[in-house]
Amino acid sequence: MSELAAVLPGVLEKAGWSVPGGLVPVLAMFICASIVAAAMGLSAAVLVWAERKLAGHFQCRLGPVYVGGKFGWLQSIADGIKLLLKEDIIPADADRPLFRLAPYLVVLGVFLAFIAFPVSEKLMVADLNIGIFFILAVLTLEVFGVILAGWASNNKWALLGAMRAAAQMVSYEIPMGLAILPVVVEAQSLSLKSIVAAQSGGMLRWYVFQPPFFMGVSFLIFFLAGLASLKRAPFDLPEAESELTAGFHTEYSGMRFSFFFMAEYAGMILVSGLAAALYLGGWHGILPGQSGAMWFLLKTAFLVFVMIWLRWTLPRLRIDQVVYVGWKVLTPFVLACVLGQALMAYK
Amino acid sequence: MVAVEKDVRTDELVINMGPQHPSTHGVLRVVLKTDGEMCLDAQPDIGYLHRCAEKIAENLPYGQFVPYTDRMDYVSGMGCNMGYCMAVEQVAGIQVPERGEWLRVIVTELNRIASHLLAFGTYGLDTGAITPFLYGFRERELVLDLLEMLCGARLTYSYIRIGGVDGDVPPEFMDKLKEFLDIFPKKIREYNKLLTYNHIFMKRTVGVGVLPADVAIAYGVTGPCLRGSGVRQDVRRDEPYSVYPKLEFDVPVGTDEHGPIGDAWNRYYIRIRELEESAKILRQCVKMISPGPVLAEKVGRVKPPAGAEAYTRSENARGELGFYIVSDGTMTPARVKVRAPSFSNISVLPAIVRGQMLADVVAIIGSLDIVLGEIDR
Amino acid sequence: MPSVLSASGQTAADQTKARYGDAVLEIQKCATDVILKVAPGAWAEVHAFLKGQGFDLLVSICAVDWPKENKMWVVSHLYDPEGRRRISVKTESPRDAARVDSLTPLWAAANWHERECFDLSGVVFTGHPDLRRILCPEDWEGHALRKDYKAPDFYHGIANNVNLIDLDHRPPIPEIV
Repeated sequence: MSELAAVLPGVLEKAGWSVPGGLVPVLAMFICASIVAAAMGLSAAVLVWAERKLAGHFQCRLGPVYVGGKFGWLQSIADGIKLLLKEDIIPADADRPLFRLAPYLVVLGVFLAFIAFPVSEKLMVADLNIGIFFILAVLTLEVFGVILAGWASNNKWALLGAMRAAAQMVSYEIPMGLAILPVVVEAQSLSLKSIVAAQSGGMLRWYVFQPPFFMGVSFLIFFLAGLASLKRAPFDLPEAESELTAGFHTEYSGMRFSFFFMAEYAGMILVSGLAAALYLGGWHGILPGQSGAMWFLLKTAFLVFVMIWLRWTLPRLRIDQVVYVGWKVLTPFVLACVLGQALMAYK
Repeated sequence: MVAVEKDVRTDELVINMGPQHPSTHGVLRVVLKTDGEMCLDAQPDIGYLHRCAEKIAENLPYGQFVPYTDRMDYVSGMGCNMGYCMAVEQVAGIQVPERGEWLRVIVTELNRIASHLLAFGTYGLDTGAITPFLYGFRERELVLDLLEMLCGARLTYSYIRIGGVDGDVPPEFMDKLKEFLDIFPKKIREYNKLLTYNHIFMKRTVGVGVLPADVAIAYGVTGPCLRGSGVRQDVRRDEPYSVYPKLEFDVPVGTDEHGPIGDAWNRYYIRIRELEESAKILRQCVKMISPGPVLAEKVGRVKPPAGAEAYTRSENARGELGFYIVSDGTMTPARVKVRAPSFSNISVLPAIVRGQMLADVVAIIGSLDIVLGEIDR
Repeated sequence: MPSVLSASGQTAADQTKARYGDAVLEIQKCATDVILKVAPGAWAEVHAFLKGQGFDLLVSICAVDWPKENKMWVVSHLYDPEGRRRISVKTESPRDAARVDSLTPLWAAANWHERECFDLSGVVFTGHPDLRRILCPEDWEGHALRKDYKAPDFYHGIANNVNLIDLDHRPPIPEIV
């Protein structure tokens, strides 16, 4: 963003527009926010299409084939238009202000997190010096939206979904946060840019492959906890459609419903991207010297694919099992990893 | 100073599960009493699909009731056709020709496969795995294609008629059937890999909803649910009807290999094993069937003697399907009572659901494999 | 096609006859079953005895209406999973006073079967813990499987008879309280 703010006056001058100097950073902010929002919406649309297509092939069928040619490229756009045009129903007994607020809160969390999303060395809205901490902090906003949605719907199934979401999020934010610590200890920084920069020099320099694999284990834990905090299968209990009809968003329809959807898909990219940046060398390539946004996107896409793959293969856990895994399996393991990495750094 | 509320009261939450709910397998309503995620009580409420088919039967000639029977257990309609026709044949004393009996067994076993595949798929759905459903439907499609070759219908067949079957099979049927039987064992192994021995799936179903054998018998549970509890009971073996005496097959029962006998996993796994047994029966049928007439001659309009009555049992995909027919000597029956297996099977739900988690309720209902069409009739 | 198993309950029937004497009115035979015809008062006793003989599985309970003779049969079918025997018990009572003792204390399965029988045929099972309608709504009138049953024209304002569907003059829909 700072780069953009630096070049912006020149661009504006060439175009012949005169903008007061004080407004330039605001304009830059606005442009960045628009780009992030557009990227988020677009990537969600592409992901929905990809997920449907992949799910189709996992299930020995074709997935979307009609809209927009052979591969159904435009299926998500058509769905989006349909969702926009659909009637927005708010149940009579719902808590209307909260019911309306919830989807925005959910999207807001993910949206804010994208600010520190490290696509490449240059392609980054802001290199916050507490980047990773910031992302984890704003991601937590999402759970408020989910709980509000469940509560405000005035529906017992939605309430149960919200309860599950609360239990699950509390259990998994902790291993997720702790799983980052070994990386932070190793890189001596909370800034995503410096964390990625520390992994340059080929595949073997990626944190996930660093012996004695404290960071490798914490990568797995981070990924699993990320799945859980995104409410993706096999941790999709808050929306468990076969148990709670649709969980916390049972009463939502139309565009409000699609906000939850969008947040989920944007969240998938976010968590995969973070995992790629923290453990898989971010924008650095397999061989030393290779780098670029392409590598980051490839790694992210691969992790997103794994998420989709898991969703269409595995059954769903039960809430007690989810909480058990969170507290009694992931947390002790990740604590061991943190301790191990810290001892190595002390030496 | 704020008074600290020490006695925080908690309430039971009464949840209405159904009649529109993705996992009640139809229009079943279950009134759940829960404490958080724990289920304290579940009372099934049935009747949303009640059409009083038994009354309809009393107003129709015997033959015309056949199409109503496959609307009862619409997932294995052939079995219902067969049960009813057997009962009518008993009261009217009609003898079915040999080939007719063979074809009946072939189609009911095929239909059992289709039904169990549906049960397999939807059970995956109930536990949150979506893909097995499509895998099951892939093979079910082949079975339905076979049945469609016989009667043009894919779900409500009415292929079995009083005195035999509607018509002989088309010439290419047997080859198609053999083809299906050749690929089927491989597919069953695939199901097992994908779902049966999946770690999460076993965590979700092993030890859940344990139905002890004595409780099962007290509630009149039959079929795979009873066999899952370790009781080796199968009408096809115990009171062999049609050509079952000539066929060799095992009756799989629940084991304690992975968990307690009679849990949801055992009930589920019995169905998978029965797929193999049905395929085995079909292989024998293909070998042993011989040409001949398929429908008894001069059945015409059935008019059993006054006072004749019969209760026939047959093993449908869900358990013992009984038809009790009383004749008053006219063209229409005086009474047709349908003993639907799912009716008794779902009545056991409150007894096994107590103290389980909410997600287990879904897993238990799924493992009972009910069809509301036959519960409500 | 006579069933090989039609005589499987014969011994049990004879034993019951010997035990209860006159309460067992008749031992009938049909194509598939041996039928014990008992007095209405002996209904529960005979079942208890048969259960003791190994007939563990209560398969079904149903009623058959005979308006001309003014009789109502109540018929049960039992099965012995160990000995693979089957037997049927039948009792006869006047249509207006169709009433037998409940079998619920003997078999949990009887609960729903008796509720169904009450719902559709109007047989009262004394001692049943929860004799409500099961298939029809609770405020339904009449018992559908009685031969003189006439379906109501309207149920809560919903026309049941095609000829009565008159869009202009529909009866008022009752308020839901």
